[in-house]
Amino acid sequence: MINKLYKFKETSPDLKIRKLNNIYIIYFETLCDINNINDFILKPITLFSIKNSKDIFNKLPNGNLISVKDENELYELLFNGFTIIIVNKDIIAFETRIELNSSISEATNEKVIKGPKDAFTENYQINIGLIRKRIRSKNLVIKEKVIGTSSKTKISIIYMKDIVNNELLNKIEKNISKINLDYVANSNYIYESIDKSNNILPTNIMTERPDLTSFLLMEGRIALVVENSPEIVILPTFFYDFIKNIDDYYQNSKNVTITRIIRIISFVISIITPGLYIAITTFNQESLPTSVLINFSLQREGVPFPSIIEALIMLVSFEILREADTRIPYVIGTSMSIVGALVLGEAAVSAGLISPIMIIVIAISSVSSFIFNNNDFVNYIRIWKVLFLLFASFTGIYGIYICSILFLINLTSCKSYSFDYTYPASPFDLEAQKDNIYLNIKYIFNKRNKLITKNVKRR
Amino acid sequence: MKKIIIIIFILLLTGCYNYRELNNLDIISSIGIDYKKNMYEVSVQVLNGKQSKDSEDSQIIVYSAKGKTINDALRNIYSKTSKELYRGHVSNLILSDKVAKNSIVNVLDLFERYTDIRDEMNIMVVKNVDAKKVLTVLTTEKIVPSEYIKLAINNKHLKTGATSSTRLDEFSSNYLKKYIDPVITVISVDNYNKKAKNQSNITSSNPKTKIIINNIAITKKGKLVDYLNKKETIGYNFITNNIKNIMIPIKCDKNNYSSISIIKSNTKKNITKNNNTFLITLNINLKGNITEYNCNNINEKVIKKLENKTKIKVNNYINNALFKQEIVDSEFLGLKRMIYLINNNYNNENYKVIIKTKVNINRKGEIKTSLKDKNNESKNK
Repeated sequence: MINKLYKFKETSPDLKIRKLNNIYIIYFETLCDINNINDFILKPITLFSIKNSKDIFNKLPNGNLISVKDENELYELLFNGFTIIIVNKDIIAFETRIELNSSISEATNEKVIKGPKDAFTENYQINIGLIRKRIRSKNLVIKEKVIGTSSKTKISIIYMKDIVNNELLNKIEKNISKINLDYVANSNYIYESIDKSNNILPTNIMTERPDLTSFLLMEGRIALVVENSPEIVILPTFFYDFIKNIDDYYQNSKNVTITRIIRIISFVISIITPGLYIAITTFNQESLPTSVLINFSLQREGVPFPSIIEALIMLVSFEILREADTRIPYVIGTSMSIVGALVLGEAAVSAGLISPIMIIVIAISSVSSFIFNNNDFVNYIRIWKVLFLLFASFTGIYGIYICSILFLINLTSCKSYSFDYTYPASPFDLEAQKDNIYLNIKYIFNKRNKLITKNVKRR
Repeated sequence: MKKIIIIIFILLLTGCYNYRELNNLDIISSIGIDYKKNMYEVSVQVLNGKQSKDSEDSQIIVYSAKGKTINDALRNIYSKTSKELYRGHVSNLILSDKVAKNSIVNVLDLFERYTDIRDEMNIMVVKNVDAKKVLTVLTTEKIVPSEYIKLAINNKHLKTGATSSTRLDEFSSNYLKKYIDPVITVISVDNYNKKAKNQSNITSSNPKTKIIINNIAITKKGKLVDYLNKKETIGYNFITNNIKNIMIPIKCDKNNYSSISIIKSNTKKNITKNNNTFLITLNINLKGNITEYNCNNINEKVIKKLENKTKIKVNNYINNALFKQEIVDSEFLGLKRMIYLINNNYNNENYKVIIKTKVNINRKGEIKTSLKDKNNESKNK
């Protein structure tokens, strides 16, 4: 055994093997806390003159002592930051893990005005702890699994035992057990490998907010916590989950309805405006008031490209700007946005390449799409925006009709783990309308989403 | 995959047939039609897409061309412009007196056939000059002349009741109906001279050349027969229940006048048959305010008297219109059609009209008596 470990040391120089009399102490110095090893292993062993494994179990002060049975387990524990002690062929593992994580900080991608500001981190234990802190119930079930032949990533399926839909749970568990990966980089790996649908619509929420996670767990959904990943996957998800925001429940609920209507409007605006503008100005000019038409035609004067090319140039350059802005280090970010704004806004117009109204149209459409903080959802909007634009550029308003029909077909035929994606609008559920666009907070206090729970009443 | 290919082919094969960029369009705002030496002369008023806000450029450009038919003339305009003439925004169709007397319907046939013409397009006759000249007159700054004419007709109709706007669809549907003849709006140009085309016309505070909205003209068999005066026009509007908010001046004593503003007017028509003659009863309900009163003493009795005088005046307007109908023999009031709708066997028989007018004056404005009255009171004290 020891010889094998010495051989292994040749390829991993951070493995340390220490010999005290007949006791071997083996650990990774990169994964272990040296102070812990000094205080709780080396000191007692020399002080109490420990000779056999019985003494170790009785005298060493540690909460997490494991007696190791075979070689595979030994390596697994070693990689998890345990220290291995070998005495007379008895193998004992000690937890001496060092904290390799960033501490709990504010959520960077999902901003709220009111409400808790803490966010999930890369640490698996902390993430589960943050959920446990909010739901102190015996019914909170955490099922742990290890996935990844090389990465050995821990993932856990979290749900409320008394609320969750068993059918859904079985399905997800079955799908997870089928996963065959060698490396799990992020929770998205797990989501992509259990997602069987072929749709561009996001059927999950990947959140870094523990409050949102526990809110949705209490609605009967299932959360997947993946080690080393600060995002938690929540399944299943419906269309209206992207219209709602956890912030809505933290403020005066009587005003939330208007906020949600604005979100719906901006969803429609962001999808349809570029297409509608092209349709009206190149095909259906009669649908505008004369004065507006004159205004548009004055602005178009001297622009060398057809409107559709103009729109595509603007859309693509805006997307480039957006992508660059997310990748660029924070320090250069501001100068970048100044250049972007000047180049796209001022210079393109004054050079006569782009008409000012086109910049307004693209800007309105893009700004509206950023109301939604889910990146997958924004990308989904972007695809339909371009599709509407293309259909409109071929057949005008008629193309907008066709594309709207295709859009609705796509949206309503989508299933999120065998649940209808547009619930509760279609299939229509009158009672669930109390927390859809209109919000009645009393409904949330008393009842749950009928579709995904077996236990509708909260108390 | 197959579906996507089919959709792409459908789009590529059927799309773009009416694709047109805004800056390649000549947006027509008005069309004027003259008839000279057996040829139509069609003029189009096009919105100038090149003018900038600061420059002195004209907001409009007028092109005209001649042809055997109106469409022929319209096509001949293409020898003068590089852009496509876009008819989707035509708001006025101006006919010269000669064209209207020749035949209005001959002109309208083309516009009814076009699919992209707006049905709300106003048609009108210009009384004293050529239609082409009306189009060239510049109106008050920043308002396109065609827009100006449209707004002016609406306002005159609302505030005085002495004109009525005629839409293309109304005109042609009335023309096609039995026992009713359409009417047409009349405009004219004051002081036309060559300078009216220039910016100088609108830079002065009192432009010399102006477009004036007149009353209406009546037609028979699609031809203009006669012009109505102001009284007859108001009478016409009363009978067709088209009075909005007009003012009627009433004499209150020997030399002085008062004004009654009508704020609500409703005309209901009843038809009864009595001994083989049809009786049409016009029930007119009016609500009014006193907005001006320059006689002494205002009280219940005086108000009753004013109500009575208003009633007589309104009846007078209506009688004027009825009398005109008899002289001209044109069914512009549509009374015979009322009978025909009830009785299909109706065959041009005679009918009688009874006018029942009710006037209600309920407000006297901010002061309760007249200013004259107050003056006397204070002097007596």
